[in-house]
Amino acid sequence: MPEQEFELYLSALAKRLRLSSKQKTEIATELRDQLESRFQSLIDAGLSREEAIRKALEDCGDGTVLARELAGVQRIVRRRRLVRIGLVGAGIAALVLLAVRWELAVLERADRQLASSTVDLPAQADPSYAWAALSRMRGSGNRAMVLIQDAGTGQIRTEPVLLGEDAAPAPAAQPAVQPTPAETLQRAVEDRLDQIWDKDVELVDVPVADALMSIVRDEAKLPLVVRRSLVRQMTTALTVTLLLPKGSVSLRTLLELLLEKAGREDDTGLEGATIVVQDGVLVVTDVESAKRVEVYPIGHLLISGPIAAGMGPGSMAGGLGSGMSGGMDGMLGGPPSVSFTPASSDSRAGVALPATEGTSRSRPIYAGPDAVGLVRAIVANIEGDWQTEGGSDSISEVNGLLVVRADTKTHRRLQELLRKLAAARQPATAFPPTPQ
Amino acid sequence: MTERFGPDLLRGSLDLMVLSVLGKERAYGYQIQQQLREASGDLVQASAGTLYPVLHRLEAAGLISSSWDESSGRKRKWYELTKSGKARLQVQARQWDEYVAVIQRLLAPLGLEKLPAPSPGGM
Repeated sequence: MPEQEFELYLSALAKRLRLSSKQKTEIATELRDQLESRFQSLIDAGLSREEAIRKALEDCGDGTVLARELAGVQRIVRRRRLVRIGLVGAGIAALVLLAVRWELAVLERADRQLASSTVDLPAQADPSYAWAALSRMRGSGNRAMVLIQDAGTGQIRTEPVLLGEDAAPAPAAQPAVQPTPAETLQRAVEDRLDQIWDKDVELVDVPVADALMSIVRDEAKLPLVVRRSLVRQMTTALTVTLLLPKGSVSLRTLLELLLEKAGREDDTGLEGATIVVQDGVLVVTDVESAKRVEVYPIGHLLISGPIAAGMGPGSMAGGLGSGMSGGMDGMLGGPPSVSFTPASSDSRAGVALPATEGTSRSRPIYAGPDAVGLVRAIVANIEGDWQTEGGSDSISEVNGLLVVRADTKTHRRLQELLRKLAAARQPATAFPPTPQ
Repeated sequence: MTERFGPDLLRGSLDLMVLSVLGKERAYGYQIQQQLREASGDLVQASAGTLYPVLHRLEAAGLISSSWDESSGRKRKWYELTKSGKARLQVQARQWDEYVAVIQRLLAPLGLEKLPAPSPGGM
């Protein structure tokens, strides 16, 4: 048997198959049978060994073409198996997100590396939001050409942009009372993530990239950006087996499971990959880059202690002027009112806050010891990478505001804890505690 | 001599040909290739590079199914028709008959069988 020639062909072909190793082996085994059967019959017909090898290989054709066609079929199978389509509940986000899709491709020229990312943007989105999201992933000061395709007309236009801090000014500052379009968009996407996923999920040995594309782009129709350093790993890393009946998890949990479980497998290069929402765009990035600063009003949670003049407990949100109605309910209903990323965009947040680092150096000014107690409770009860334990998450209290830098998950846990604390405090506010 | 069928003609009908071969009994890839060749008197020579993507596509569509077998001493992938493959074969066979009848009705008035075969290089 001319094993060597055939094995060379098969291994070259297998290398070009972006499939699981099981699928690769099966395809190679099947084609080996074909090559050897054909070889044998050509030998039987009286051809020389060399001639028979040549003809058998010619019959299979260009390995690259064959690999592409076979992998293409497998990909269709996977997508079909992935998620069974059903109607997404109520389609709240659909209002905002379905109308038109913008395709954005960014070519980063600064380091002459070809890098392209695609962002699907809802119609209402100002493309600068996507640029903002992209610039965060690419550092600042890089020039890029953005291709914008209008999905309605199919027309493509190009616009030069400067990424990062020097980028085109953020959308004109809105009056503080109105949430900006970016905030509205952000909120819509966050809400969508928290909705229960209304489809069965069956993922078995699917490349993470395919699974994400299928779920986020094809099904949920949400804009998706993947940090460039993770793209390669995502196309090769496979998901663990995930069988989730519909209605069992939220979209957020589904995506987290997808990334975390895959990241926990050996050598996938996806360790620490996480998904966050930035300016209404889903971004797959690593945990450290995903950390962001949020500000939480906590005045209403402090039992006692001097409060700034004219601000009673519960009025802090109004004091922030962030469009929330003031009072506890308004505050607790929504996410923190101010949010910015530490690296670049303080000015965009619209609120200048003193940069504070870590619990140890910040001194509460207006709040009493209860604020320190609250910070302690948070660090003790919420899993995080806190500075007090040598990590890079920071938490400090300023003027009845909690300034926290952490990843999305920690922020969510924190919001949950604050919500519980407020709920526990509420009766006490309504009925002052009796000394019994 | 009739020339081999060109790729354009093959492309539209290879699915049906493969289903027909498997309509008789299960077969593996090389066997299917050989049966197509024999049944057509060498007019159909589907290359392996063409045939295997078709097989995988038909399997993905649920028209044929596969199983591995080592009884021949070599690990071999066998294909057979599924229930919906059988149904598809019936439908396509009927359509094919109708299609052929239409072409024949169109060709008949031209009396093409009386035309001399084009001489090589003559045109």
